[in-house]
Amino acid sequence: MNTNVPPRTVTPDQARRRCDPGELDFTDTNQARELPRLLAQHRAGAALEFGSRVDGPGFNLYVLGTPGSLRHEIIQQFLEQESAGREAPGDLCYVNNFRDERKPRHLLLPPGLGPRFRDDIAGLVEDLQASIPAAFESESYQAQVEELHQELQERHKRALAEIGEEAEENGLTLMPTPNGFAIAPVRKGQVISEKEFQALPEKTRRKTEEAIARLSEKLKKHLEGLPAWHKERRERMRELDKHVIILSVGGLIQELRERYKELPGIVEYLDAMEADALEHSQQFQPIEGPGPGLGLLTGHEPQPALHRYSVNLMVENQPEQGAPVVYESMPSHQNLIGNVEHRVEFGNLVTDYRLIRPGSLHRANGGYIIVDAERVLTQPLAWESLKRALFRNCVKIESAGALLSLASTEGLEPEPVPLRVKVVMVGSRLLYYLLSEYDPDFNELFKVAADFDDQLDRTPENTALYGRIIASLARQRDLKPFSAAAVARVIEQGARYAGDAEKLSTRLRGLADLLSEADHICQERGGRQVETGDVQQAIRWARDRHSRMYEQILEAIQRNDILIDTAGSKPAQVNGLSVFRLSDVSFGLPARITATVRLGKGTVLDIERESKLGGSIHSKGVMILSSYLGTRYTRDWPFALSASLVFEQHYGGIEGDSASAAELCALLSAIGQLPVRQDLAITGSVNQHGDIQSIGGVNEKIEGFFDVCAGRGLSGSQGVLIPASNVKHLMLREDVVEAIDQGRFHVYPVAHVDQAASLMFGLPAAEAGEDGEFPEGSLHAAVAKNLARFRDRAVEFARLQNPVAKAKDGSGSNGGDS
Amino acid sequence: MNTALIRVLLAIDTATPSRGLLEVVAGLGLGTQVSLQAAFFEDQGLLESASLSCAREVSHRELVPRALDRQSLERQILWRRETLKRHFLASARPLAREHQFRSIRGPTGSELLREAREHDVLILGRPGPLTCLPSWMGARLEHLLQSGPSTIVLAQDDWSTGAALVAVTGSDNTGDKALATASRIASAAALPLTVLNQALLNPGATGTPDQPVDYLADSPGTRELVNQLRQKAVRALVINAELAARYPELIPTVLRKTMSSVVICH
Repeated sequence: MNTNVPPRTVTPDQARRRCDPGELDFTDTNQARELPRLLAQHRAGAALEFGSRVDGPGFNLYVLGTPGSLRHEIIQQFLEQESAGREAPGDLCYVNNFRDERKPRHLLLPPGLGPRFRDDIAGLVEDLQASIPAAFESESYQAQVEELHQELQERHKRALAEIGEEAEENGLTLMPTPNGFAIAPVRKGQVISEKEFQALPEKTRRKTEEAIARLSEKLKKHLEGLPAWHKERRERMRELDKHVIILSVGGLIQELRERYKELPGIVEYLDAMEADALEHSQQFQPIEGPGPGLGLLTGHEPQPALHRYSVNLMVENQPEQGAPVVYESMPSHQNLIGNVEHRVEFGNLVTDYRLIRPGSLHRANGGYIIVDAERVLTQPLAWESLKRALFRNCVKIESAGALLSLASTEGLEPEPVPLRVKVVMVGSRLLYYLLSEYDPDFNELFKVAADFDDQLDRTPENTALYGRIIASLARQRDLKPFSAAAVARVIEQGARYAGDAEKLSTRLRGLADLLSEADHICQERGGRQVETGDVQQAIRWARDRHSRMYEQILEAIQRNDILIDTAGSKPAQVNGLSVFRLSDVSFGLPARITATVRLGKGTVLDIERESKLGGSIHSKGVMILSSYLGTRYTRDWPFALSASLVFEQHYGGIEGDSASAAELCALLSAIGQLPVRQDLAITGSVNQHGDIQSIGGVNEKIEGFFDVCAGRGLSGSQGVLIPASNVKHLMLREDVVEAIDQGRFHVYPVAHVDQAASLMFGLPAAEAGEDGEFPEGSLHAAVAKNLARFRDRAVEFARLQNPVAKAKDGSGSNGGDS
Repeated sequence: MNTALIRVLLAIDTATPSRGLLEVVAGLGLGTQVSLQAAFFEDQGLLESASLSCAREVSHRELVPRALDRQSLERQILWRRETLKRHFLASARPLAREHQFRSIRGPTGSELLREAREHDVLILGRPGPLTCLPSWMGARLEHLLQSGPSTIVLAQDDWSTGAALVAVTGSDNTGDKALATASRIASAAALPLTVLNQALLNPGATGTPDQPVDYLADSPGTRELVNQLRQKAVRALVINAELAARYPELIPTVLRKTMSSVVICH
């Protein structure tokens, strides 16, 4: 490129690369064929396919990408298709462990059988609830119980009667006392007094005492034997209860045993259940309720003992559903691995296996679970719990309190459930690389990375594909059909989101929102199909919603609170361009950059840097300018000036080197004392050779200057100089393109600072001749001339400052050769 | 029986519990005109035996024959009296009936007979293991039957258990009173009533119109009666005093071999 030829303004086609609806293979979105959105992500798609199918420890997936790419939806859609053909995992139940109720057991059943088994056991429990109490209340049982009771009573009474009769025969009486029984001599039915007793003949007294001693001994033996009698009765009662239970339970359980004979785990459970029922037969005795008030408080149930047999169905799958795909939106420790709930009874927290609740790992077992990386990492214990489950290949429900040693109360320890799950963690690239670097477990557990591209090449094929993705998004959200032209407009916006006319953004959330908003506008106007105007309106509204601050700044510029000239020429003052980012929306605005020069030692002072408002990249750009100036103009002699650069009225931080072209123009103007056009703004970074390099946010910057100029009325000469390499990024607003088309606004691509200078200063830059001198009347000549003047003044100043040198110089001059 | 005000005596001694005796009052269907008196009999004979050097006591806790200690016995009687009094007053107060608790010291048998004459209904608590003896709290049963009030209730452990009532009637008019009492109790307690002929052979007796009458199968004697009482889980056997006197072994046997209480009517 000839750097001295003034650049031409870009054409409307260059300013915005339009999408031809003819590139799409449908007339409206209802006609578009459905396609997996993952098609647009070739690299990530291949990784997902591999990761989701490969078996082996640690082959879990981490999906990298930027937010807004609808990765969760895309992955879920992909995994649902992938899992559809796979075998459904079994159902999971927790049941009581009759040997140790603190450690409930799990049962794995074929898919779909869990509810049936639960209902069967519930039916059994219901039957038992009726049959066991009925058996215990039956006349036959009651009669047998009473018989046992009476038998004991009768034995007791008979023994006492015998003692009583023998006492009577010996002139004694057997009396009940508060503690037991007493034996004393009587006469005519009345206990005799001590005096009367002592008055008896000694032989009678001795005989009486012997009889009392003998009967006391008998009484003692009888009372000693009572506990054994009671024990015997209890055992016989237990046997009787067992018999009743067997009659009530045996048949019902046997029926279930037959039904589930193919499942040893269930048969084993039924055996244990029967044995437990026999062992705890006394629990099934009908009980008196605690009364209505108390019952309400405690949730009193008629037969709590029978609830030990009910089934806690944790996970239910259907045989035809395929492998499960679970998206855990809140991957906390508890939500992932499940928990044991408690209920309050009389102020105490109590629990049992029926209060075990599944986590998403239980639900996803045998399939896939999608979790958000950032959420897993920010939830206490969640990341550690997930890793532990993956390392152990099992899910063990542990309370957070117990893990942190905060609670030492006795709780349940449910049997761990074997785990076979594929974890798909969705997160940012930064998190991925941080985890890779700092968590050694991560690389062991997440061996497959699926990296979602942020952009897609805007080829004809991809454009068609993109159109179908848009159609798919619209259909999925039940939106009105979009015409092909409207879709084309959305595609253009996709390029604008990418900030590149040759790319399409894969951040589909923004597009999806745009579609929803356009659909709403269409509905508001009563349209049946979303048209280009609706999309255009939606884009405008979205921008307007976020433009409060932007408009305030524009107003401040129009009212000259912020000084920006858009006409005429002024020395050492250039319109640079900067970009503000607010939420998801970016705005470009002009900024006045000024430069001053004075005699010095060849430094360019970056005032932004000195005031700590400029970033390091910005400072680097300024240093490059020093190098450029020195190399270009003062290769053989000192660069004897000091310059200062500043972004006027800029009080926030400045970063990046996209203003270095503008800063260079300001410096050149200040040095050469040349006026700069104020109807132009310039953006671009500069290297040491004066090449203008591409920058970001070119569209927003152009539009920002356009809005300022348009606010004052477009003069026809106004425009923006951009790096030539940024032309491919142009996707300018319709009104800007229209102004370019009408010649009322211009965008000049420039490749070298000389090209920019010819526009900014209205002077040719001109290369130096063979003698090293720049042609008179050129920009460089003016700059070089003033730099030489600075040099001369510096030499002169040096002489004034150093008389010795001056003397030597003088003697030397005067003395001639020495 | 004085229908205007029925005087009920609950007789308690150191060996009988008072708990449940008020249930008996309610279960008898006596209506609201009731005056309740609980009498705690402190047996003079037992106290005197404590002064007797040869007398021995075998307690349930210490299975060693020991001489009785008067002071210890007094303390225990006092504790028991106060406990019973507290229970009685706490239970009787909500009934809003006239009630009183008294303690009587003396020969229990004769004191009981004397008190019984002053009342219309005598309720005696669980008879204890010495039911086999012909005496009841020291009073011989035949004396109670001869000079006692119109209704005597010999209550077993728990009056509220049992699902039926049995009345024994005579072949002559001796059973009319028993049948009327049994009907009243059955109605108050909503229990089916079974009417049994004195000879256990005659099924000709009838119940009240609102109570089903289930005639027992003919039975040769007391053993069969006991069996029937057990199988039917009978709450109480209601019998006329004359019949009870005619069969002196019947009541002790029923009390010893079944859980049924006995109501004796004059």
